[in-house]
Amino acid sequence: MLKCTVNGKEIEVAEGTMVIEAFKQAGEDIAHYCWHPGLSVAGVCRLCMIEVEGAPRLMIACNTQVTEGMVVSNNSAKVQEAVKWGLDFHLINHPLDCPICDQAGECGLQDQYMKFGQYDPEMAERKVKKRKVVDLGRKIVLDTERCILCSRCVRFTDEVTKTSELGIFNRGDRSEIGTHEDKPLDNDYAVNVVDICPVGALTSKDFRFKQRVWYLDNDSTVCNGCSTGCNVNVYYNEKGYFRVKPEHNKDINDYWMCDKGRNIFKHVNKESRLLKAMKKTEAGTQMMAPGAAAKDVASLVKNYSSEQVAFVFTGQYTNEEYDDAMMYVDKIGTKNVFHWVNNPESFDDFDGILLRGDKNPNTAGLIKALEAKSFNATWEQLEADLNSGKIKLLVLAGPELQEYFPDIQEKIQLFSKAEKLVVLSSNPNPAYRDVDYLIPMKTFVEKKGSFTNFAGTVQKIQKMRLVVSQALSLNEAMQLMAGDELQVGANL
Amino acid sequence: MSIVKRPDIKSSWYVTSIVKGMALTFRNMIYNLFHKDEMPTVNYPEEKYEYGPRFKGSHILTVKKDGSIRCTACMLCATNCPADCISITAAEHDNPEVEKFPISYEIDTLRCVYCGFCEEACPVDAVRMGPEWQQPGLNGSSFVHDIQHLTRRPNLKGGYTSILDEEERHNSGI
Amino acid sequence: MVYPWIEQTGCCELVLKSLSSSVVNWEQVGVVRKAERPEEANLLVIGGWINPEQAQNLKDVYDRMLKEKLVIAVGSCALSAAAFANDENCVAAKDILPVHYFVPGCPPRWDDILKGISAISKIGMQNKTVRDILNDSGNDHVF
Repeated sequence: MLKCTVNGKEIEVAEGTMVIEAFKQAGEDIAHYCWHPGLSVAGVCRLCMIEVEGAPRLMIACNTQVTEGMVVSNNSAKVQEAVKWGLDFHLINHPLDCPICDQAGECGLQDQYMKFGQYDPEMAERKVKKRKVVDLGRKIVLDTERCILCSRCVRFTDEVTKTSELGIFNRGDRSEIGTHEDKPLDNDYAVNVVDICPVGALTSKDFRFKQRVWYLDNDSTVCNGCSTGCNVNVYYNEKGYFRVKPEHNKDINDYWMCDKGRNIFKHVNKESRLLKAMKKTEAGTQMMAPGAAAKDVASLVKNYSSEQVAFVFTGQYTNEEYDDAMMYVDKIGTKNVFHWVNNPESFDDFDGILLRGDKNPNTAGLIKALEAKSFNATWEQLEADLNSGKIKLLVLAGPELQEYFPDIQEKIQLFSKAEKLVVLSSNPNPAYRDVDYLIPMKTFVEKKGSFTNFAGTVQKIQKMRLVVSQALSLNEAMQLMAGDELQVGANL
Repeated sequence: MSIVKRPDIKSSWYVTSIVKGMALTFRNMIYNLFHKDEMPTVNYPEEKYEYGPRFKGSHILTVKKDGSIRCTACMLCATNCPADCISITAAEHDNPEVEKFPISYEIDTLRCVYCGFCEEACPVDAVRMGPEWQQPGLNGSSFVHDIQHLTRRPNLKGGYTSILDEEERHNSGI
Repeated sequence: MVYPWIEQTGCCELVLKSLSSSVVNWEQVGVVRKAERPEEANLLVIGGWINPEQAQNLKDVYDRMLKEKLVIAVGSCALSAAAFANDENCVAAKDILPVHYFVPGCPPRWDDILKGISAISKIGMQNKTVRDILNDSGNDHVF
């Protein structure tokens, strides 16, 4: 460990630490654009100027290693002056687009200007006009005028995805980032460049102009797109859920997430949700409250013997829900509990960065819950029992992310061989048209709990804004189906 | 214990006060008869009170020289609005120099408090408060005004042109 | 011909009070005289913010008024609670009573209030419905 003094605070840092990291560790403000903790050091923005005792000139904090007994500061007038001029040079060609720019509100340039700048520009020349709204594939829009050439995005495609699509073209004040011949930037991690862009040069097509960022609240949770379990921030307000951004977790996803995970908020919003329970009767479909439907199912369960009732689970619910659900399965007294694996062929795939073939967030948790009660029925057994008519009532705890279950139609046809089919699902699906009971469920942002990822790490998810207040969680539904009453305040 | 002092005969003699009061009334009446234009009373439906041209009344959305809407849908007015009466939906424009424009801009005049914060917050002179009066109306008439009403209602006579022009701004290199 | 009963608070109180001054000729817009008790009023003018206590009071007044009665709400607070809409201590008039005429503004001009009263008073004079007045008025005050 090395001792150093940052703005008068004495701290100890590990060997090989850069001064800018020591500043972050000491909790001191330091202006910077090009430095990103997940990427290599470029040292192009020249804003993280520091004064080192004994050195005659100012140095950049991001590319200076801490040495024993180093005394650094960035609050002297000399540093302030250097930062001010550095910022002025950055703003020479930066357009005054803030009202239109999607980054406004979380823009590095705005923040730094309010902290260190606040002056009238002294540049008399005209701004250099560059290309605006360059289409980079189906995910990203590029505005070369707003770019301050920090090269974060270029380093990202070079170092993290190793695809190297982006580069800096031309020279001097004509230089701009872009892809060769404007080819699309379409790798699986492309939208991360939007997050790391300190200005609004790269914007996501999905979120573009949907909301201003200051209208959004955010909460951290765990991505339910695959079994990696990336930590993410979900942004929402009273109108719905709008976007997902990665959150730093050293052990799991570092600073990144995949582009598929950025779609996990879409099925949550009200327009794509199942709002009422549906019961198929002879007269047609009857709409009813979810709780009432679950109680209806409870009377059905009583009609059949416990051997004739079967449960099928998917790995998309939380550990707590599974534990409670298994308890109520025990109470009903059946041993017919099955695990629906959506893609056994590509189950163990891994692309080397984050994406895994197992598209359920909590397969490990489900397997553990099944093992704890020693339910070990196989899928072949289910098929055989359905074909022989042994199973009369089947309850399916359906998937939340239906796009990862391409065989849903065939599976529902298979399940329909049972006399009565009950589907618990958060979203409607054309395949559910003929099921006997369809009960709306909560999504992963509407309940507390935890997911166990592929490596066995248990991570908590948070309850944010309720979208469908009547919807049930799996344990509530199972409790009602087992014939128990719900207690007020007992739900997750 | 307090001593009650009875009014003496002089102060109970109130005829002089009445005469004074009536004199004032008659003086004003006769004055008004001969100076009708100075009379403060307005006979409301026939005569109307003239307000100054700087009155901040109904909202106006300005237009560019080519007649398209000036607003860039930055939502600063909606953010600044203390009564939450403005709702904007932004969309992508075909022209990359414009980039963003509102496909819907609605002001709920029942909620609006006519504070003028929207006008103050607007960075591009897109929303103004014009000299027109607020419009009262019977229950059932529309108080939520849309873009069409805010830019091209008949009283505006073709709409107000913004002093800020995109093209000039681009040419001057800002 | 209306006998208004005025419930006023806040800034709109000042505007409504200024209506009683010599500047305005009330008879011109159909007001015979201001009611001295709610029992003899057939027009309720609500101006300014309404808190829950006052809402109860307004309902009482509305019940005590004559059988055929009309309500005018004046000012943004009374219309929709405006800037206090998120505050439970401010309620909108349209949520507690049937409001026939809305006068937006903060505070509205007295001209607008008189416009409302004159439009409403025609109902009292000729026994017409609100919709008739709407058609008669040449859509001057309606968009």
